[in-house]
Amino acid sequence: MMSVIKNIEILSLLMILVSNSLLIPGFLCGNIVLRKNENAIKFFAIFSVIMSFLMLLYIAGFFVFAAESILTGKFTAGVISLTFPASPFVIGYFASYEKVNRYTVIQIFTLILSLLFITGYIQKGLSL
Amino acid sequence: MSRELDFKFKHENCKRAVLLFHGMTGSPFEMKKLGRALYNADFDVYCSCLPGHGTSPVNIKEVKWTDWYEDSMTRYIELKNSYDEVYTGGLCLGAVIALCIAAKYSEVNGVLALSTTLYLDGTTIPWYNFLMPLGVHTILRYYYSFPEREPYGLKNEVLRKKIAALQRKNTVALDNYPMSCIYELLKMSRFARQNMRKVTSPVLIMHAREDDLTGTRSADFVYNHISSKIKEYIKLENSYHLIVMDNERDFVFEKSIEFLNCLSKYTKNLKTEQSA
Repeated sequence: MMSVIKNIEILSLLMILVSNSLLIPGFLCGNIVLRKNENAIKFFAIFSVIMSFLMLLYIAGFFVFAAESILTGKFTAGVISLTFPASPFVIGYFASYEKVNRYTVIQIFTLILSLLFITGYIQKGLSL
Repeated sequence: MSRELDFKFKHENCKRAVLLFHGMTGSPFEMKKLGRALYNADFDVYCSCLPGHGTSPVNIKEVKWTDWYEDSMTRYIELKNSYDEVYTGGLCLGAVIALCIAAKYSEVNGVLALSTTLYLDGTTIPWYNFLMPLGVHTILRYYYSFPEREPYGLKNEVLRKKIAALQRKNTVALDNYPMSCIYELLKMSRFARQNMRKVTSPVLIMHAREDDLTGTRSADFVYNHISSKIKEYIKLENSYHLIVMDNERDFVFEKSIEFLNCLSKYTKNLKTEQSA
């Protein structure tokens, strides 16, 4: 049972790390292209589908991580980690086209925060 | 695109008007043939570009559904003050707007709900549509545009080539659906669904069985939820989404005129009885 939970934890961490490390440069790249060429429809169509899949992986990874943390008694880590999958939707709620650059920067910032959180968690786990 | 696409067809001393609304990313161009048919049947007809449409493609990404709602209400009130009978009608998003006006103003004499778009579940909606909540509710909605693709809403292949060429030039319609625009459409559709029971005006619903953008679920919803005593639902067998331009457009025009004329005659008889 413990090995199953451990495997789930590792899987969720991998999902978060992989998605995070691709989402951050993805948003940076998208933001640069958006500013230079708004009408690159085909580029944005493919870009957005890929980013949506990565975001799905990111959200699913954090939900699995949060569930595993809460079930194994790590409540603080579990509750904090739930804020990260919620952040894209909170940012999306407040975002507007006129301020898309600003909100993209905020999104990148929250992704970096979540990456720091997860790497900090892993380092803490390794040092124990 | 130019705002010269707006049109109004007026007779001298006409007392009945039809206010038409075009579809999302479209323009009054797609409603012109219907407009002419209604004009020839002695109606005054008005159709203007919705906010965000008919100008730069960038503007459509800034528009909110409340802009469409408020603009359409204003247009209706202007006509209401000048005409004895005012009918609303539209295609796709335009049909949703026409129904919203009827939900707010019970005095609307009749509604033409053509290819009403409450759900995006047509035959060309891509398989990765399950990702739409992520695309629509996050910052990604300002990055993604759903490219217009075959069959461009038209079953008629000759027309399809012509319209596809015009769309590529962005002269009468955009060649893509910005996700932010879809987001606003979905919000407006949700509002329309919540208020559908307030519609008491007579409604004619026409929808293509093989609609490539929105399935008959939308039209079924309208038919089953409006409180109108007079309602008619016609499913078209030989058209796709743009029923006002496709193979059965003459049938659509004929049915629309017949419906509105019946309502007009009923309204006149009622007035005669009341004054007698």
